[in-house]
Amino acid sequence: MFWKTVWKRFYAHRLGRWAFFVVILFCLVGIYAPFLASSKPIFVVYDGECDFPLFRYLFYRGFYTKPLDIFFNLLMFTFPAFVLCGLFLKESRRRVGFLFCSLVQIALFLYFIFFPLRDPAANIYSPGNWTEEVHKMGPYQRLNVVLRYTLRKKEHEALLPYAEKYASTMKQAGLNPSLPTLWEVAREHEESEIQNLQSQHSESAQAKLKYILDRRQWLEEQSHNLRFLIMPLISWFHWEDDAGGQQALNHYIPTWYLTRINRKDLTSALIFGVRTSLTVGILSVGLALLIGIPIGAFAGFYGGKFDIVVSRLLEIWEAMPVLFMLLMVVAILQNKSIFLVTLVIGVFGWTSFSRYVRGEFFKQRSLSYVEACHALGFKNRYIMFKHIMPNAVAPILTLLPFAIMGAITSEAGLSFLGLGEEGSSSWGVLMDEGRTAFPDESYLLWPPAILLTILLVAIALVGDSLRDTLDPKLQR
Amino acid sequence: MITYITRRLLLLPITLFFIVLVNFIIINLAPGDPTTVSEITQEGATRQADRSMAFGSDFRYLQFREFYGLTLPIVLNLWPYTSAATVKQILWQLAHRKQSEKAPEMSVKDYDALRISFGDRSRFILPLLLGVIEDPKTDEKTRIMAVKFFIRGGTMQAYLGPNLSDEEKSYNRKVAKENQLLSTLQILPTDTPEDQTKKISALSKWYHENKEYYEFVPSAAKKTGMIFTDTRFFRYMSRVLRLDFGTMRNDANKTVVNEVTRRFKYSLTLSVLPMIMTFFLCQLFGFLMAYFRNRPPDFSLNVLFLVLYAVPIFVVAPFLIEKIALHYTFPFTNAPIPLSGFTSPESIYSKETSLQRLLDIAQHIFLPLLAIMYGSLAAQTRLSRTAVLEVLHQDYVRTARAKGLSTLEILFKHVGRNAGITIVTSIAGSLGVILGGSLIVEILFEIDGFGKFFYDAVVNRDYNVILFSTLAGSFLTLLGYLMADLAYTALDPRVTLE
Repeated sequence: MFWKTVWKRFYAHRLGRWAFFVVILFCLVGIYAPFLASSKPIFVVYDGECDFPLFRYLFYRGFYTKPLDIFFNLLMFTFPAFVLCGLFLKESRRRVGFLFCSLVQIALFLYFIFFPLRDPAANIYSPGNWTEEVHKMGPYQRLNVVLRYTLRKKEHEALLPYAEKYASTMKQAGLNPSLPTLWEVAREHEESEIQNLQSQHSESAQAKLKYILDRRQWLEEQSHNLRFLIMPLISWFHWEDDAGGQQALNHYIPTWYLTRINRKDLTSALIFGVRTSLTVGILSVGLALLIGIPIGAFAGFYGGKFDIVVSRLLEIWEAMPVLFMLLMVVAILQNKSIFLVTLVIGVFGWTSFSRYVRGEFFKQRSLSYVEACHALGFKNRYIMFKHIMPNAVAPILTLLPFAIMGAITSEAGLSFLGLGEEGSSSWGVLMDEGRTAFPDESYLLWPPAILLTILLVAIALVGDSLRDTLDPKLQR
Repeated sequence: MITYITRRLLLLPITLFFIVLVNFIIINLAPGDPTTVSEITQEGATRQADRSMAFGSDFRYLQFREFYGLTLPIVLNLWPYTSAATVKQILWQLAHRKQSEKAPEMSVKDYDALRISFGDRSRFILPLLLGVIEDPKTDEKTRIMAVKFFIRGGTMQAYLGPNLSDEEKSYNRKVAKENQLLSTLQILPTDTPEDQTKKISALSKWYHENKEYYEFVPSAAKKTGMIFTDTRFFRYMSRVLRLDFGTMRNDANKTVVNEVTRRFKYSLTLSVLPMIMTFFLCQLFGFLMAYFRNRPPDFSLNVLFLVLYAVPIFVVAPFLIEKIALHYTFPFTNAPIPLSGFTSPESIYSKETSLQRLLDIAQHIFLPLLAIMYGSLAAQTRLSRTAVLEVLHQDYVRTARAKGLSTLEILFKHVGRNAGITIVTSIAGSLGVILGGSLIVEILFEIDGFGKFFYDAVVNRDYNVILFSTLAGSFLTLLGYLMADLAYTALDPRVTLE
């Protein structure tokens, strides 16, 4: 009942409502990122047969190297189950449903981490004869080869309108004027090899030449057999894979074609970056809650000497500048993993929760309902967590969005300073790449900066509306 | 009041002690061996240093470990009591990479752990090592291993830092000569048996010559004392209590404390000035918002400040540099907006008059100040609005109005002062956050302050600077809290804080 009124009142805040939708949108983008950016098509018809290449790779650790991605890819399937449980089950059944879904999620996640899948398109022995090689391939391996060829070609064609301008500038500078796309690079390489082989007359050279020409012809033929290609909606690149491209090219093409310094696709990295931010925000705040609530609750409920000691400790803990501590820990431990960062943010972020919970428990413990509980002979711990806790939820809830905001900012800031996880797609890391070439190449800095700002502002607006909702005294 | 302040001041060292303790724990978790440390470079690339024996290579890191006693056991040092049998056994294990005769080969990780811990221990067991070396029954592999550890244990650390006494200098000279000698005595794979015996006899000669001087065989009382004094904790604490934070990584003549405090003036300007400005501005906006309560100006300001509060500083600072400083000049003048530094280059700055200097600094720190200030301004203004609203509802404001005071008078005299109490506390308490913000601003605007110094130390792995800076940052934050409490009592006589 309480939550219904809260939701109703929250919904009445126009700004808060929209911000809430934006946050939800970011979450959905994070969860369903592979459908938005990946180099594998979602659905394809090849030679009259349907295939779902993307789904073959979702849990393959050679393709998604970060455990974080595997976790979110699983969440793609368990998330609807969570939502259904929330919508259609009631009370205790709902709790059982949630528990079941989380258990499935965790169990599968651990399974995929400890028992990695095999490569769906593992390389096969190459006999040096293309027809024979094709013969030996499985149906999916064949499809994979054709897909790669077609996609590279399509990418190249999409960039062709900008080729002329690029070529003219490059010619002036005396550099290679052809587009640095994967397709073009592979083609040039092939051409030179063909020329090289044609000038030789040995038998092996001729066989090699035949192999290349056969492959080329076969690919060209087969690419017409591809029908109903449904690609991920926004970007055709996997964020961890080389997408071709060059810094110089970036000046001539629209934002969504930009490549990062390490020749990976910017757009897909941006989409997958949502995952990092959300994980850090939620995990570290969860950790902070886990530490902060019990400590605050005990201090507030029992008071006395225990409370004095805890308050002093809180004070001490708060006096540590978080950013300094973060930098120090990362520097001395020589470890830049995202989970260490999350851990440190959580460990240095619990004090504010403790403070609020302590204050709330202090207030509530002398109220008559608590006295009644005592009179009924309930145990202290039962009173604390079953009776007082629900009344203390409101201040925690108002603090939550701002804490998440702070955690996301800390992580991004740390990555921005060059101490983020390597090879991660965290927005901070992307911004750091833009910073190293600042201000000449600042076009790499702004897209992640803008996305980060939108997310943070949205969370802040949600937090503000939530505070208004839960704390009607402030409205006046 | 005075009792309160004294109590507060007494709490300060306790708090600092805890911070030092946290630092101690963190540096104890540091990876144990200089050669397995992966470097953090500015490009963010991890380079795994070559795996070599722990006796050479990254000399400076070894020095750091010696300096803070990281080569010692944590709380109790029982290493001098190691028995000869144990030494022999470990040496055999290291030489053959096996736990025992029949066991399979050790994993690299286990081997490294054993190697490092035994390397650290070797200093206390030199006589035993020499015994193993000179024992004709030892097999060759074990002997070579024992020689390596003997040399590791015999290599002493020199005194570092400026203002060394003559005694220390002569000690340093002696140590340098001996270390040089010892390093030539390392047994190489190309050595013939004759070379080996020669080297070993040289080692034994060196040992007997210096036995008394270095006390390789300590007396029983000394040995008992070492249990407590030759530990990480004791060594570290005694350093910290003497405020001895060592020297810079690159220059042994500069002490860390000097270098850091020298840069404080920039950082303090960049954090105290915004605090003062924030105080007045947020009061002003707080009044405005409270005055227009729940009407469009209030609403829009509220949202604006919320948005500003959410925008991270590392987005705003590049924005200010690229979109403002590169394209515009100061309003109404042709003076370009400086992009970096706290002042103009020394060559220009030293020729200016005082007034020009002031103007020069003001021009330089205009954008950095803006970047540092906007966040706390946004947060404090929203707080200020609530505070002002709360005061406006008090009875004494109604009384003041009833007795016919003008609005301005009410606002300044009655409301302003009372609302200010909340703001001052909150602003003074936010010193830690502002320091963190100024760190990023200093890096982006290339101001050679405390924050940038710290960051460079992090990038260059200058551990001494990192440890001291964290302590200094925490100390400043604590001072902020103290100031907040004092201001609270000063502004509000009702509060006794007892």
